[in-house]
Amino acid sequence: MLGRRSVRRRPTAFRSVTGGVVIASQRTGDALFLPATAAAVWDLIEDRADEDAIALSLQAQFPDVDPTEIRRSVTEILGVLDDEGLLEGDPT
Amino acid sequence: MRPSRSSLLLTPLFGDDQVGEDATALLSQARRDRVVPLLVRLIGTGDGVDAADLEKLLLVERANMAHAVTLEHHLLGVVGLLADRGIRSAVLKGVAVAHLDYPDPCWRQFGDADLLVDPNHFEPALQLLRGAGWRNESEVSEHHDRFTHALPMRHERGVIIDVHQAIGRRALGRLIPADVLLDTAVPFEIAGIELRALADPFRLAHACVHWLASRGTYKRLSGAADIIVMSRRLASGAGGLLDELGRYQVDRFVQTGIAKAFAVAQEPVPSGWEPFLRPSARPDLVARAHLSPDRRPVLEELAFLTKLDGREWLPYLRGYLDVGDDYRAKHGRSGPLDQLRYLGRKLRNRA
Repeated sequence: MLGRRSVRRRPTAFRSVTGGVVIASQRTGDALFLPATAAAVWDLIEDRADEDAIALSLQAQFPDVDPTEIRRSVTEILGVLDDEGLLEGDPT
Repeated sequence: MRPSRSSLLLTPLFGDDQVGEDATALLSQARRDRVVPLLVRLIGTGDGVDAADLEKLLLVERANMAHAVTLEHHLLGVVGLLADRGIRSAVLKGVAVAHLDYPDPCWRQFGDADLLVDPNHFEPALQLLRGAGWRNESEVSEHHDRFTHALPMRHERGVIIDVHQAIGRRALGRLIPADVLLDTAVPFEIAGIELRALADPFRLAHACVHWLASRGTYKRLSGAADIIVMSRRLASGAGGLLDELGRYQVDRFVQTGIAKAFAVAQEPVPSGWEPFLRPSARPDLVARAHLSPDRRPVLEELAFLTKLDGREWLPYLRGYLDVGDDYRAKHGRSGPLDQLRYLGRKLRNRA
């Protein structure tokens, strides 16, 4: 899954809230809270960005943060989303 | 006039941003009345609000929205399950108005989901849900299955969906036939999936009927808020809308609901509604039974009996005396004498 394009699995119920986003896990239906950085990744997946593009976009938003740290965070967040059944391979 | 706490909580619906008092003091009422999202908008960025209070409020908001997405996740599954078997449904109340009537679904908090199904498929719908892991949250007498307006079903993850075969209790549920409600239902989307909801006039009527007929802690500000957002949007067509609802004798409920909701908000009724908010005729039995400030169980029972087909009387009355094993096990009453005593208490109860 990682290292290639991913898209949100649909249908996934979610709401933006102060400081992040809450999403219903596809695995259990229970809600996950994604804080701001993870919520930004969730938004970027909507545009079918791959892992590299997501990291670059975040780097532009947070220029003071070490790129390696950003890349590690993106990998970790995508892993969590994948574990919860929230991603699927881009069919295009 | 000094704004009441209730009117203050409804302020965001009118686009005002005057807090006027320590808004965080409103949190307990906002939670009880399911209007925490409105309080979040009332406070806005939190300028001048105690940081600990703000954090508490935002945690409550997050928990509410987490509950909302979990409910919607399961609701999508249930609607799909029913559709696969050809059972029509329409989402009611909080979930529907959140997506159709508020500026954003985040503005509307809800505790459960409500789904109207075709009454001819009520029992098959419940069976389908049981097969998918849902359990009855309460039991009704087995002969009252077809008379109850809704049955709450609980999923193992804790969420509840109220499966309705009518949009109101007793006589209220007989005013607008379910096939009219389902035939005129309108589409809306959750997470890209199309569902159905009641058409505008019926959604407003349902909000009014539900809010006016609710008592005690169930009479929540969220109900008044629903009436306010819908009636403001529909004000330009008020006369025609009331004419349409008059065919089902629910116009009085809408007139009364709108007047009372704006009174709670301490705001003027939209001008489009003004000429139409004075009910002309004397209230009928259903309105007298359900619009009084305290419960009137005898009138409610009589009003319901007038709405039943004559052939339904005997099965209905039988349902009070011959309740079935599940109901007996749940409520611990057995035999006609026990049931007659229960019925007597029920008719006297004004709580």
